[in-house]
Amino acid sequence: MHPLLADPWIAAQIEAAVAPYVGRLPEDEVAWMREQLADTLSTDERAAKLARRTRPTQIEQSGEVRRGAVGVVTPIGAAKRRKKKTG
Amino acid sequence: MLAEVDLVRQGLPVVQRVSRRIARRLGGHVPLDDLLGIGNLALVEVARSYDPSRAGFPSYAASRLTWAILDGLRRETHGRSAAARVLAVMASERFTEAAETRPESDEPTTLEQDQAALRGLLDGHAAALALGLLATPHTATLAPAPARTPEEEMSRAEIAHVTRRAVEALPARERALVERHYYGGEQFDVIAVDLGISKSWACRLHEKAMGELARAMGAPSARAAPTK
Repeated sequence: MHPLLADPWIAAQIEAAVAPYVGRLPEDEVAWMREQLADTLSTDERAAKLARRTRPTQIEQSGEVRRGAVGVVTPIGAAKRRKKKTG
Repeated sequence: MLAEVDLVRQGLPVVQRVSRRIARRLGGHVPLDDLLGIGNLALVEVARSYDPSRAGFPSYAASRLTWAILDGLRRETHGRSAAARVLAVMASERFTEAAETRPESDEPTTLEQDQAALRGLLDGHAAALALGLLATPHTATLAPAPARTPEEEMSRAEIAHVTRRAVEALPARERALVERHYYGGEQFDVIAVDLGISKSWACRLHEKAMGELARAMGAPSARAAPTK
């Protein structure tokens, strides 16, 4: 499985895109389509940028702020400093 | 200016990278060595045709090699399942190419615009992939597809029919591009020349066609975003 599919938000975006084909194409082909879309989000710069911009901000229990694309975790101090800097 | 032999040397790691990416996308249906073989052969021509005033060699080579390998696979792949995946990857790459022909805007965008753009992008890629999977001709030269249940065969035939009808409903030039390339097996560039349009314009028409197919398949990109 593509590592991006382990991310629930990414998986939901991809599931929405393949929804019209679920039950109409064989399951192995739909699963392959999910992998392809995940690959696109990880290799296409524009797609990755859109995913980063649209991803909802989450506050982790650890106190870290998760922003942007999968796996990009910004320490909360750095996020605050950046906010202050940009006004 | 770099000599051809230097460009080939620079291009060898690009062949490796592009081949590995395509192998990964095809999910092990085609051996990596086959892809490297096609890529290495194509590299000489890629180096020969390089124009330094247009782009850096690695990015130029990556794009040209991707298409050389996919075109080579399309001609040489005989397993139906692998052939369908090759065509699907080509459709998805072509969809990406359209965005690359447009300069990126510096204008600020709203969250809603970005969400709509992401939905449109994923829906378009999904439609392109499905079209590639469904349009592969079932000719006698292709090995049989994996065994399917009668229900799976019927569902697949139904969506193939819906897709074909949606293609027939496209505006004339989009229809010609899609029909001739995916169902007729003609080269994309040749069709563009025949239609009297540039390759980049043909890519944009292809992108538009994928958006329309996505809507016809029931994926209106204007739907509400998933909220998970």
